Amino acid sequence: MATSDKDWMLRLQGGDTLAFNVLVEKYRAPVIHFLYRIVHETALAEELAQEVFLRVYRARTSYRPRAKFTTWLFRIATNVALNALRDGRMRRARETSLEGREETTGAPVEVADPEGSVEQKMLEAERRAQIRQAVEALPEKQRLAVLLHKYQELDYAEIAEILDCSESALKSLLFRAYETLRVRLRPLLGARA
Amino acid sequence: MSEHLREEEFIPYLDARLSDTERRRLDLHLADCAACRARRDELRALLGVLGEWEAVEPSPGFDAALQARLEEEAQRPVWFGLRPAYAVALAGAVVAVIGLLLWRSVPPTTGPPPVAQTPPEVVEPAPGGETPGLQAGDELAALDNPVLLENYELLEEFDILFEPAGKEEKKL
Repeated sequence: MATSDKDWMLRLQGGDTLAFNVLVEKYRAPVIHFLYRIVHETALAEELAQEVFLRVYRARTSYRPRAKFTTWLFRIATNVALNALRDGRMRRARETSLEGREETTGAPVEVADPEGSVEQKMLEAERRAQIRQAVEALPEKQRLAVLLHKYQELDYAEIAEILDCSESALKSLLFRAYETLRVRLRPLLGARA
Repeated sequence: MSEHLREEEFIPYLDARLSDTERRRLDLHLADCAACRARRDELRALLGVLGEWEAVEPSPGFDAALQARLEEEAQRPVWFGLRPAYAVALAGAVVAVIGLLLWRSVPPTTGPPPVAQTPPEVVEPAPGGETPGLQAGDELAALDNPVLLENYELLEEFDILFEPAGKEEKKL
């Protein structure tokens, strides 16, 4: 029988530091993806992800397996991301970013084009930028709900707990968010790049 | 025609997270309602389009950076990793304890208001040479005092107590 995340956490609580590595390995990418879609900057997303895992490590002794591990983890990630947004770290990171990446889309800027035309790549980049901007323009709670639902694929109960609302309220929240996106992104709905 | 889909039903419908009964009911409505059908189709297309927004993959140095931060953390004092609220509470408690200790080590500066220093009233000897310090009645009262009574024989040696009194009184 596979070891659950809660079991790994309890092992970590008992002093098994390898259990922490297992959790990092499993959730490194999902946490970075989630944070990246909030802060839109690679280095900052990774820095914040490290902070999330540090908090998990620090909290190992007080961890109580009341909720699903992912609920707890993404609640921490949400708090860390919102703190970063509010203390201006995101703005500073954008100002100082010297990376050779197109931070608005997350895709590397490519000069050579081995698989498609430059124009095609630019169109795809433009579509991604529109999607990012449309999601970014949502009210904070709707945006988080969409990220946790669409991209992290958490279930309704988990998202509702992370966002501190009822499941019913969450479903309405998601509907309103997707309705807004449907209107804003309507030009993209009929035609794929 | 049955009721339109409610807003909290659309997303679970698209996620296929409804019970069979609920799904059949909504399917029946969708078969008859072009508006709900169009909305459903656009929302379905939207979910597909949103999937085009890819996130970055973790950099190869992520684990090493995390490990470095963990090691740095291990070298810090315990209180360094406390949440700000806990750190403030801890600092407050330390200040309170130090304050209490300081307060207890300093003699109190406040107390009962100082009594005016007036010179003791000089009692003039009564006529007849009796010292009003201890009169016959006082001697009887002294005998009621257990401390004085216990040391009566010793006190008796101090003539000043009984000097003015007569011999008879002294034999009380």
